[in-house]
Amino acid sequence: MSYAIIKTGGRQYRVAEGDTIDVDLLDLEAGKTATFGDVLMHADGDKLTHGDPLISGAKVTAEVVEQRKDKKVIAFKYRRRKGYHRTVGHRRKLTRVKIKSISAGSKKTAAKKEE
Amino acid sequence: MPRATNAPASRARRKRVIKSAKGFRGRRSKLFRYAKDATMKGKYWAYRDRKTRKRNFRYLWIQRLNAAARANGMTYSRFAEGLKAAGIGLDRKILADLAVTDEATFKSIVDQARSALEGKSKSKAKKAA
Repeated sequence: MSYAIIKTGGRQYRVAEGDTIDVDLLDLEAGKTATFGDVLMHADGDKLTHGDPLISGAKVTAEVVEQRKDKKVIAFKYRRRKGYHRTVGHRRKLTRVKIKSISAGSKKTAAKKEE
Repeated sequence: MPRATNAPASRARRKRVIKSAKGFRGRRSKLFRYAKDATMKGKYWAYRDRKTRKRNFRYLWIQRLNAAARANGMTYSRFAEGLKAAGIGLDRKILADLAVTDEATFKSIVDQARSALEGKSKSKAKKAA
């Protein structure tokens, strides 16, 4: 079981090849390839590689499946006795990606960090 | 002049509130007067609690990490210090998930945090001497 921890949109995701995840909007069309260069950790069986905090040279590539919107959330603000209320609808823009490949970066870094 | 009312719009408005209060308990789902209050509070709390949820989950992850770190002979506080010293930037969500689903990997992270912590205290002692 091989997986990597990547960082995008301020969040960290644990991904393996073939996974489909929703990440914060990426400016790419469907069918294009997204590359995540911020890889924090890579685990392959009992072999663990981590960066400081990023692994240099490591990257995860993914195919953009679609640009979509999250479920609608209603922001309802209300102040009692003040006659104030606001309703604002919001749908977060997401990009659905399918993970194609995970590369752990240069061998040198991997050998140094691995325990 | 005939009296002008706006009955269809009022009825539609009330109906909308009653519909959104479906499944609420007792008269809160049946009577407009109570349904209105219930839906407003529901939306208000939902908005607030989307923010508190983020805190609550962080508390939960930290509790799990503390338990997992102690199982590996380290307290959470020392573990967090060691992570920083080792330059591991994984967040609490990921670490807690690893602790539950991939114990071997978590253990090696704890070991790295421990060795980084020892290195840190050693260099500090050197400076003092």
